Amino acid sequence: MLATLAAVSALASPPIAQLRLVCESRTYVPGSALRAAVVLDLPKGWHVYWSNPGDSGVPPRVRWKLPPGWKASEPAHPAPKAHRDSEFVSYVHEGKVLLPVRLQASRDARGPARLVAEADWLVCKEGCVPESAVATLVLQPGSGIVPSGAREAVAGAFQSIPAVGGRGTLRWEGDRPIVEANGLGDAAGLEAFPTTPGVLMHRQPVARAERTPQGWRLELNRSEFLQGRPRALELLLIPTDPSGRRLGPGRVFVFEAAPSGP
Amino acid sequence: MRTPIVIASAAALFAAALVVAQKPQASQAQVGQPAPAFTLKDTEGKAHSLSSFKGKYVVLEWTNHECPFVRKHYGSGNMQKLQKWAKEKGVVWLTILSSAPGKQGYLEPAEAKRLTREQGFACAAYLFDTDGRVGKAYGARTTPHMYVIDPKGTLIYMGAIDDKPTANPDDIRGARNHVMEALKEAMAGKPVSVPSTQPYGCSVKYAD
Repeated sequence: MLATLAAVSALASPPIAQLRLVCESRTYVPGSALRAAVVLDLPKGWHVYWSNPGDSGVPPRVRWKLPPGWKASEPAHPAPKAHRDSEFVSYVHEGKVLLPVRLQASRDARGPARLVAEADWLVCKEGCVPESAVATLVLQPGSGIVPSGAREAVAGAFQSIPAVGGRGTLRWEGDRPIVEANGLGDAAGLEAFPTTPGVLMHRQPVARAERTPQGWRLELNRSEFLQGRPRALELLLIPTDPSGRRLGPGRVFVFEAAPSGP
Repeated sequence: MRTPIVIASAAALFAAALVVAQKPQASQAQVGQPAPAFTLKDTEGKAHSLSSFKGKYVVLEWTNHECPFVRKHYGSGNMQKLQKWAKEKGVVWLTILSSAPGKQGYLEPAEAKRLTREQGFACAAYLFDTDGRVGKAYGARTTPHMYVIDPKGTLIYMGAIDDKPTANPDDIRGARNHVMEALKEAMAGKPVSVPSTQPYGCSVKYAD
């Protein structure tokens, strides 16, 4: 009997990461937008992966079950941390991870709305464990936003998403991509994270950097898995102060080669 | 005129890279180039050298039986099926363990022998690279991470086993298997259409 119980509890080992779904409001207005977040609570020492996991790992995946006419965006990611594993580097999140999501209520919605997120993720420390869970959130119909206990956390999560819309130029010197970025303010330094795998070397995307009168010039290291010379590269750049502290969540830059002649 | 970056800025710039090796060791393995030579011992203590397989296609498979991505392909029988298919075509399949002693997935030779028997591995040899030298020479970074070498000893494919980077066995059906495709194309005298992909899986558990 005891042996059976032990066997059962070994099979149903408690999950490492806890999944929750939170929203800024307890209520919804039909047809209006709401800010929400998929939350993964990780114990110390464990991590999940950024949208570009780097040299190993996979990002969390969320599938939605929503009432008719409702919509949910793909979860966004805060800026990642670099996690070294031998010579290779993964891009990860640690601690309480909030992945911001925009919800759109159906115009025809009536009554309580039951929103279900089915998520699976890989959580790693020394080894990795694939986990999955379902989180449910019920919103009541209302005439405006009724702040929930998670409102500040959700607002903070939205502020932690890197901005988009950075533009810059790309030029190839042999096999080396060279990009120039403006509009990074008075950054004393930069952290750089390629947004897609297989393009730049994750362990050291930037070979050399120098300030220009307008911004920065970066010599990049291509990934050994990259084929040819793409005409565009995407990089998250996070300005840092002289002590290396981040000045905000950074901005995603698209660097494009000038169109070649006819 | 460009101002060279000051030292403090350089330190901050590489905050993401600081934690990694200061002198990035470019891995030697490159598609189209000779595959790095190696000699490794199998579960019986017998040494196998890559050079002794000249004239045959060789597949290298990095493994760690505790990694969920490896379990995806062995638990479903996908890896064994691919190994058997390759064996019938005369391909030499070498499964390589780079987990260091004390790290996840490390096995003593006797344990590895039992594992390969229990799970029906169809590899020609299960090789130990517990100091990680061969893995690093190939730039092996995930389990699984796959390499295909042609009869001349040239690397013709490196990367993921397939195009579905998940730990879910349900994703094997309908996935494009890059290893099988590279072998089929090369054996038909065609160039390999996808010679290199970003691998997916757990990190290789090298010695610290």
